[in-house]
Amino acid sequence: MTKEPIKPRPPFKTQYGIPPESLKKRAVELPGIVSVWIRDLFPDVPETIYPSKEGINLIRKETEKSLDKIDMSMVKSKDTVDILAYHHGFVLLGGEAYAEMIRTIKDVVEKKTGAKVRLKVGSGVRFREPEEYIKLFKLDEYFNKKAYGVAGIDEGIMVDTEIGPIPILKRMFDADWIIHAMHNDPREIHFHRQLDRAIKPFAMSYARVETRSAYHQSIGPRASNFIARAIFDSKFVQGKYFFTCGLVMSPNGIIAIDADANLYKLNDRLECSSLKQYGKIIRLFGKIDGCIAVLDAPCPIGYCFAAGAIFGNLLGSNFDLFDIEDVPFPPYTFYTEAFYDEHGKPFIDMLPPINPALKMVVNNYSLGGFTGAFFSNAIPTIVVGKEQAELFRRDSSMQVYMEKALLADSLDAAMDFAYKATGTDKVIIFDNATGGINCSKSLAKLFTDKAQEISRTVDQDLYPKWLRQRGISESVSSIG
Amino acid sequence: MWKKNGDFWEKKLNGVIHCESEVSETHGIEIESILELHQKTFGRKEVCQMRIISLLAKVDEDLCIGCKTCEFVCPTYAIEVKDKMSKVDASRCTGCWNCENRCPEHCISMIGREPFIARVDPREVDQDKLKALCKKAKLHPKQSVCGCTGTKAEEVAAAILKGAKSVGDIGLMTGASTGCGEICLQNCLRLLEAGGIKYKPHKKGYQNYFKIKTIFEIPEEVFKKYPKYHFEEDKKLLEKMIEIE
Repeated sequence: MTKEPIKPRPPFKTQYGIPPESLKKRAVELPGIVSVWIRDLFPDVPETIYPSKEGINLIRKETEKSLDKIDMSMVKSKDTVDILAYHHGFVLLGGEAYAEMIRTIKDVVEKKTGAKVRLKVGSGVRFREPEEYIKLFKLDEYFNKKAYGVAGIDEGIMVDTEIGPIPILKRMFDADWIIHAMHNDPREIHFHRQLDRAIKPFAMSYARVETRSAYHQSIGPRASNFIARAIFDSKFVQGKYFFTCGLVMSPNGIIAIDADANLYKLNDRLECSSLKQYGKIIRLFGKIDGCIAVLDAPCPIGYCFAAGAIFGNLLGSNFDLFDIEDVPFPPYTFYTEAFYDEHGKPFIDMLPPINPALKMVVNNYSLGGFTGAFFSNAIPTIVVGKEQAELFRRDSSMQVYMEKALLADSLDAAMDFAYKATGTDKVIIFDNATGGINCSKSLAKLFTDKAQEISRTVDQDLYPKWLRQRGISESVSSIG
Repeated sequence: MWKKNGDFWEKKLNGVIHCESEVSETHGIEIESILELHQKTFGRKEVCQMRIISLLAKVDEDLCIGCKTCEFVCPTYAIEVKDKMSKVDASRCTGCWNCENRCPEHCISMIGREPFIARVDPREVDQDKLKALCKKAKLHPKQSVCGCTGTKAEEVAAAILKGAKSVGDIGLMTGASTGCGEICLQNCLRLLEAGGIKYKPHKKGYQNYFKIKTIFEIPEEVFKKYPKYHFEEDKKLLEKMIEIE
């Protein structure tokens, strides 16, 4: 059931990555690499609306359809309306679908209300990244120059919440009405634990840096999104909240667009969908018995994708990351990495171990701008190419990452070393390929052998448990 | 290859990052990379738990419009607009890229500089006071509080005992919060608060750095209202972790 490797998207020019022409070889070009398709592993995965034969037009159609049910009568033509978006969405499937959803929201809202709509795009720690995406997708033209990148270090305002004042970004919340343009791609399950995931951006991309720090450091490993909830529920935000519209993701691609004025109802539907769609992939990763992970995508190290799951998920997939009762701490989270010493060993006994199946990481291509020290400290890492190494050394958040990593001149040299040092020939490639996993033949066989068992376990045992833990009834319809 | 251009050394790196070097000790020596710069300055020795500051913000005065954005985002107050022109105080710049990333005119670049190390040796302060400060902040002395640099709580505590009064001071002395400038902030603020340093809103600029309530300070009624977040259990778990010797 294996096929030719799925060709990854080409690298693009960004100040956070090496120049595209510096990338000499992609991981899919390595000998013995094949792809195994999600649909072959899990035949019940829903059909996608993107990618699809209709292309990007279907995103527009489905967005328009989902917005039909949104009451827009409260918005007057003289009101200001902002679409709040964030950089993650532009990483999904090349970014065009997220951009088109945003364009469609603008068109529908302007047509129905007469109000002019602006775009505000939040960032992670790569503060210029939103501006790059705004230009790349010509959103500055589409929004008549009223499309802005907003960074966590920009001006803040204090909002009163259930736990006292919390700073959010002034520019994100300076309109009369805000539209939350989101997606439910799980990404850092280890941080948010799939608990109120849809609300997360209110404490991250839409919030000041101190709030993001509190999200990750102050509130406990299972309650990060409580900060987001506290902000969203505040009188200030509720006074301008309009509706949410989002891409509904699966490991195979986009399966729907969903919109709702009630973010918590939408959240429950999206949780069901994410747990059902991604639970199987994450549990399948948990069956890997030894591998070399190759990073080969224009994302920061923890966020390169394989089968819709990020590399950061692999560090903890030896545990059930969705189990919020029996797994308080995932192996990788800021709470656990804090208790590792400078030799990459935990100095207290309580920590769950990082996935022992992950023998080595070969970083062929990734972006900088990420808190990278732990990754190379805890996992043997090889970085490919002097240009990439120099990029990381100049990056204030990646300098220590590079101090602990080895440097190889070429991908071939890195892989030769990795095979010898690890004793495994199993390779999984995190290159954002859509619809399947690029991997070695041996790993493809493992995935194929284990998929049915995983599917049964998730459908019959784990999915009902995960819903119960989140207080979501099984009668809530999952999308897809 | 570095080439001399007036008072500066210049090197174009693949057209993406344009760097100029002002490294006095290495004038006349060709440098290919930051790695070489570090090796020349520090020799081949193990580098860990310290931040080597090797980049400096440089303002292109032909492009600067004096808008003060850079001044407002600098965590160490190293850049200031005087007479409508941004000026960098090299002794306070940690090369964090904040100013470069937010300048609307793209007139700031990061250039090589004579590297210096940001590190505080926690053994140089009273150990009882250091442990008490960490305990009050609910942090284990040996836990790393900065994910970019690996800086430990005991280092930041030592910096506070040595006179650090702000996140910026902590950054200059230990390197913490000069990487991504985001994830570790609350840890630094908790230690500052534990050290008796009160929050003061910044009159101009965005460096307010407000400390938010932690799991140890959130009222019980909030815990009871949201059982799915497992607040009570995690509070006990974290308390157990920070008590371990």
